[in-house]
Amino acid sequence: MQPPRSDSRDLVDRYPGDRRRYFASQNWVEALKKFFRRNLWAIAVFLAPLIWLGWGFADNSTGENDYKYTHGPLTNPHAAFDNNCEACHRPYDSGSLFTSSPIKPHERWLDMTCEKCHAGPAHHATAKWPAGESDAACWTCHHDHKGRTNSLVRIDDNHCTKCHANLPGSYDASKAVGDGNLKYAAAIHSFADHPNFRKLDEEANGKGAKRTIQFSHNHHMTLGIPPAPGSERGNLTKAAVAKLNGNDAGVESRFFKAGDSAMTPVQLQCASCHQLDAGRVGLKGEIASGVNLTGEPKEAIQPPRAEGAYYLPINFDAHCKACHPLKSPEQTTILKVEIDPFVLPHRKQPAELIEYLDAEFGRQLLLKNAAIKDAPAIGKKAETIQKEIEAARNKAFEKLVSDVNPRANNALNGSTCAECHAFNGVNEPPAKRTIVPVKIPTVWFEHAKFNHVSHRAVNCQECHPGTQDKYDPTDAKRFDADNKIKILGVESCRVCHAPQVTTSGPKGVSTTGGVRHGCTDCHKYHNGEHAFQGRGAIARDPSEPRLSTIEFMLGTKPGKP
Amino acid sequence: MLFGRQSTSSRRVACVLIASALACIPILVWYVGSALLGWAWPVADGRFGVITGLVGFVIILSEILFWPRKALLRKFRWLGRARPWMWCHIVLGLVCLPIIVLHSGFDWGGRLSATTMVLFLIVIVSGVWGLAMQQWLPQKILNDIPNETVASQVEFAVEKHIGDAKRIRDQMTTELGSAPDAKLGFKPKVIGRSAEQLTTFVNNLLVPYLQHGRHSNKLGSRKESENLFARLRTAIPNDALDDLNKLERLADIRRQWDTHVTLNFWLRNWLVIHGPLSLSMFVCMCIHAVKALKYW
Repeated sequence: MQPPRSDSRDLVDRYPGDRRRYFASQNWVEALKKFFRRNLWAIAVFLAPLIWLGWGFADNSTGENDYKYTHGPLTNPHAAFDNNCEACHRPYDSGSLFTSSPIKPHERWLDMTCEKCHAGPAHHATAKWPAGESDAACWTCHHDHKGRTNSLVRIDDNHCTKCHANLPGSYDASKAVGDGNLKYAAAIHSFADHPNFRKLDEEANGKGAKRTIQFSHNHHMTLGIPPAPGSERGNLTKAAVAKLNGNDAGVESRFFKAGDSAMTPVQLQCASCHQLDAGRVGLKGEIASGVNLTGEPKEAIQPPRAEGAYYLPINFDAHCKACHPLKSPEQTTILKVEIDPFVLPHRKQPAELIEYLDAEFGRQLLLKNAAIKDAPAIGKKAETIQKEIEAARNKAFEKLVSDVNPRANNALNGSTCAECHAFNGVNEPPAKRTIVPVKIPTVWFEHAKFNHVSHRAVNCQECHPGTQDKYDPTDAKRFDADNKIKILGVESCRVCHAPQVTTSGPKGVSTTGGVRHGCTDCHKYHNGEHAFQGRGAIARDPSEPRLSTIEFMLGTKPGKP
Repeated sequence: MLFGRQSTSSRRVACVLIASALACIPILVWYVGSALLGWAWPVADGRFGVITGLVGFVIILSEILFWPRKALLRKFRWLGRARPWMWCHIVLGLVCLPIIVLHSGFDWGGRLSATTMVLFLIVIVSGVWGLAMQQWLPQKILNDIPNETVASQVEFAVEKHIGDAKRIRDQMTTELGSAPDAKLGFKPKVIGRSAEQLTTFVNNLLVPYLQHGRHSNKLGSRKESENLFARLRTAIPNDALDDLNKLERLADIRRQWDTHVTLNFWLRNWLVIHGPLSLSMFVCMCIHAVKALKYW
């Protein structure tokens, strides 16, 4: 039986359309209007935060937007890449979503291409990195996006001491070249417990390099460079220097003031010989020291180092020759012909010197004696002439290589080789002796850097003791000790390079330290042990593949366009 | 949806608050541990931060799906009933709170992440508020408003009541033949000065009140209303009291509906915040996620 039909059903049946859409509008325009009218508040609430956010993005009055996608401004050397992330970071593409872990998004950003420009060698092949191989990545120590003036190479000590505080634990002997023994201090936590310089340690252990040249700093720093007792010469004066150098005004101006009298004794300064290179090696061969080395391999002898960090090597021509001219002995007579003294070349071994003497003696004989000039080249007379030349040469040569006579008037009459140099084969005939090569290192601290210009406010003697002490000519040990390095230890550095300490005493308040004392203030890595090459020098080797400009711009590898 | 198996509304509200407090415990524990005990602060861009961010993203995405589900459920019945969806929406929403706060690392970050975080917190608070209201107000409406109607239809329903009030007024005061539908031989129950008073009352107080609600005049107050009707009772004959009671009943119903509208406002107003801000937050979150994974 059908239930009774309700009245409401009759009412519903009056609507002929789709009842489910009774409340819906008939067209989409009406529907849209209706939707907005009914949901005005909801739409406003939805849009309000988005509008506020969008306004924030559009308004850059605070400069915040400049760094919305970066942690901060790049350092000055990288400023050109402000808007080019891919100059350093590997490009990000859709494929990176699958190759890089979304859990470690930073790793993708730390996948950088520093080696495109900075091709320094890897840092310590023997390292056993505390946090794995990622520790060896460039970004582990060098942090950019920390402001324009941030230094990428002046890094915190923690980056070094994480290994060097316990170096045996971070050292993989199996990767070492050689015996595998650790050659560095086992534990360094800061500059406060830094060991002494290796060169000084070797010297203290008797393993230091032996001095190969006889020289007295104290003697040369004494007013007038006084002669030994009983010497024929007096103090070295302006007149004496002028005579030695043929009144060369350039030489005089190096050692004397314009108004000095002829009898003014010379007073050398450290800078008279130890000169920093201003990098002014001109096209004509002149260098800062005023010595013309035209024809000499000047760049091999004195390579330009304009930074002024290291002194130029002491050079005979530039620093010694003015007072120690290398001349042939005076009063040489061959076949009644007076041979004029002549300048001998430096940097020659005895055998080469003999050839030079033979040639010069022969040349003067031919010029001064017409009979000899016209004599036949072959025959008894020629043999006699040759024997006379050899006898004179041997005599002169003996004098040149003989031991120095402290009473000799060396500076005025010409020096001998032995005055400064030591010989190999002292028991051999003079012609078979050889001069021991002078190996004064230009860089004493091979694993650190030291800039002399930066320390110009400090007196030389404060770091180099025993160079300006009172000279005693009668002292048998008047020359510098054979194996004494005239450099103070690391303690002398810590006087300034340490945390600042202020103490108050009876004389008032005094402050010590306060100068930077971080690891990177002295040590530079990535080829840093080659002081004159600089970082990335190996990459500049012509034999290494290099990026062309277009390759760099495209971010490709060498040879792969 | 009723939260918990408690019989009283106050207990259900307590359940909501306790559940919300439980959701805050991980946040407080980690914060206190980091601030006082030296635990590591959570970092948004570390492994933990990225994992919590991704989990939070998935949860919020599923929360947002609750919205289209309403439209799709009618066509796809296999999506299930609304109740389990609502349950998941509430539980996941509360679970999401500590996850997202720990993901932030207790740091607002930049403008985008700060905006996203503020919107998230507003959405969570408005959701908890709404849930509490849903536990309390329906029961109160059921108890306090026996003449409940659809709140949005009150304005239409009172039209009928206004017509009823005018008809009752006419029946009580109009003489034979004056009213269009008056029956022959009908005599007004209230005449003279009482009739004038009654007519004035209905025209000036009752009808405007029925039309505009509680703020229009004194009838909005139950006490005032009882006083006014008590005075009218003294002025009219006894056989007209039933009609006067009907008028008082109309005023009473209007008062209930006013209350109903108010309660209905509080029952649903949070949705105006919760819904749109959820969408805003979702948009911000997507931008934040892309920006964080691509650029940070």
